[in-house]
Amino acid sequence: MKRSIAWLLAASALAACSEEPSAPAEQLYDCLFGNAHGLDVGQVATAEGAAGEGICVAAGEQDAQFVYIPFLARGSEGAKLSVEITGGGFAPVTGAPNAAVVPAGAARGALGPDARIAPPNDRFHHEFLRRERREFNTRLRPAAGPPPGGATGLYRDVAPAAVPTVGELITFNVSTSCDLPDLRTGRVRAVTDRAIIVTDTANPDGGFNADDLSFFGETFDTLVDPVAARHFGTPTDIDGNGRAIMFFTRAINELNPPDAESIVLGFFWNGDLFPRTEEPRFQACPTSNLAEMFYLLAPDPQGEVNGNVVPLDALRRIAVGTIAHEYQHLINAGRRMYVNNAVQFEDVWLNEALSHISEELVFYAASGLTPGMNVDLDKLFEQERYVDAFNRYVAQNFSRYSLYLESPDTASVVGEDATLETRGAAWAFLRYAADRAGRDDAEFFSALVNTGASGVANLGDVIGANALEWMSDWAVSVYADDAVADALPQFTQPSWNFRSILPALLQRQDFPLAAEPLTPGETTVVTLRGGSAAFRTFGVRAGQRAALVIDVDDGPPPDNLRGSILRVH
Amino acid sequence: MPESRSARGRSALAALLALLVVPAAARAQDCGIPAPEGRFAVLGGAGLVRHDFGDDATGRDFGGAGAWNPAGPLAFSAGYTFRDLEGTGADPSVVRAAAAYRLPALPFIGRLCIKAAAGATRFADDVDQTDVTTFAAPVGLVFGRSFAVGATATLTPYVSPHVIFATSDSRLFGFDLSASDTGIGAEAGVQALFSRFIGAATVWWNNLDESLGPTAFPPLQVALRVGLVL
Repeated sequence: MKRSIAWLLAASALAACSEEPSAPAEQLYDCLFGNAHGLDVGQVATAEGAAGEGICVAAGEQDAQFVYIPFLARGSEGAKLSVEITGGGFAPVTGAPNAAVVPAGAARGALGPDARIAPPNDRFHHEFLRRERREFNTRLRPAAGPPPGGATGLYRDVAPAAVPTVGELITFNVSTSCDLPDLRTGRVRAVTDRAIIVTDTANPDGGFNADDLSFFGETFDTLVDPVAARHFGTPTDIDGNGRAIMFFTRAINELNPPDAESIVLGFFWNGDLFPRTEEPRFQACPTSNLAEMFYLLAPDPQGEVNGNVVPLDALRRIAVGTIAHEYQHLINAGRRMYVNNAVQFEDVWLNEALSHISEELVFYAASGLTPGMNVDLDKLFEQERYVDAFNRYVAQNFSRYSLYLESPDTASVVGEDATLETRGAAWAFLRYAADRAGRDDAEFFSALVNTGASGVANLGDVIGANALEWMSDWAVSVYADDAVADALPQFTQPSWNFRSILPALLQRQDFPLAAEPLTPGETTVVTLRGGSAAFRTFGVRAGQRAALVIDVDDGPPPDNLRGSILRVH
Repeated sequence: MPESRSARGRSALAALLALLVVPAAARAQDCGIPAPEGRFAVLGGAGLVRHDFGDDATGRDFGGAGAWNPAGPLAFSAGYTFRDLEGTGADPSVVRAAAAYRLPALPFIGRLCIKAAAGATRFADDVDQTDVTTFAAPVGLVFGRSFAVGATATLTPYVSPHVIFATSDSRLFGFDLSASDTGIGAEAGVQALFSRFIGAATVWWNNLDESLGPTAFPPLQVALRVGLVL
């Protein structure tokens, strides 16, 4: 603050010692005697980097409440960043809305995934995708010329292959290794226009009957495939049978250890789309099944495999959601390899988010509801089919999102680890981005899938803006949506009223967002990763001001730390 | 006619310069205290201040002061101002006092004085999180000279380089920010005495660290005061 006028330095004999004031003095005096943000309810002030070192807000004529939301704008998690928040002028956080809004109807039951089956083992799934991406990215080669699938996505102009008939036995490799096959025999149980349903001949007793399997095939034809093809693109057809193969196999059940608290529901493996011998665009994967296919959990009512009971009814209810999820992965990988000429697969977080979006899109198609309706609890309970579709297709997404809300500072939208929180956040963020982009869902998601770019860069290309800034705004919306009056559109989530639905889904009386109050005169440390945010609340009495000083490593925040102040009351 | 008007103009200018360069009798105004020899004066006025807080907060001072120049080398002044800082959350109260001791006249320079001043500011909120009190004391020399302007008016320019000591006893948003600093500064001004009326225009500058808070002597201040000699 001492003005640096060069000629004065010559008078250093007179301009003597200056006792060092305590660290935040400059920002605090700036706040008290300088300019302050006079935000109205719903307004947001955001500063990046050093510009966000000192934050000053004024309450105006009425008591006010604010939430400070630091967001680390990095495209990958990277190293943790400790952010020290010190400030004062705070009054207690009292009146609504705050993080603990109790919506009407919160006590309603009937929402939620089927409790008879263990929740999905997302960690396995995520780790699998991560390992798979790492391995198969190296098997893609840049090459000049048109994509191997041509404009149609059909691989090498393959002649239509004979479609298997019901009862036919087929041998598949179920390992996820290009070197060590694990061969299982499956029997074709149903063939529909777009699906071939195969069950492992070694599956546990008490499995799906013919009607169940026909149902899956027909539901795939009429619901999943049309939705996916419209939003993500037509799947490739490297085996020329015009169908996707769904293999219900105990090989998936075997992935779940004894007494598993969560179970693997299925997966798609990139290796099945690679050729078995070297080609200009691809390294070989000798164990490839050379087919558009994915693998699904088999019913196991007696717990024959590792003692894990998989009830038939429960699996019947959730299998279509799993199929929708894996089908997006299949389309995404296939189009990157054979249509988009991509030299990399999609980042895991965005790939997962797209697959959860696929589940959500099936929810909309099945329920008749549409994005942008701000669906709340009352809406869901208007019709039984809404609740049924919710429980089948998106309840797990809500559960994962609630886990993110409980620890937003340690979770990351772009997380590389296999966390449930990341998947919940990535799905909710992608829905937000699609809504904010204001384009047709099909156009938006199709643009994300039909590209050679990946991750944050891919998203940035599609939205035509800095995707990390959108993530930062989304973090604000996590608090503001359906809780803060007059929030600007970019700080809302137009499709879902999470504050209404989540408490009922979780059977709790409050919204699970972790938003801790700041204490005047004390330093609060939040540790952020790339793509994560924190929520710290404080009140300011009428006519007063409050000041926050943000330090990172005893200095100003780095450029990629975006701090937002939202007035909530 | 043009030559005649030009000649008259030159004569007037020469007369004015002649008046200005005629030293008037030594007065206390030479020391920057706005009171004539042996008299008491009351003044009121307004000023502009600029602090380095935020984006260089500006504001206005309103207040009054008294100045007393007893017969002899000593002179005193004291005053109170209310500082209205534009767009800020706090408006401190300011009290200032000064004493000057007049040394014998120096050839070609005029009067030389030793001047010491002190000022305090205070601001407190009503929720007991902020209570800022500052104290600052500039001590230095004053070079001044009075000139008669016409038969009844006196004009006194002066300049006062000084060292300024400051300390603050401050709690701000719940933080203890007490600190002290030493800097350099300067005061320059001109005072005009006409009959019983007195006026003063003053500029203050210093390089105190504003982390001390808003001292009575901000980094930059200009003030205009007018008053009556009693």
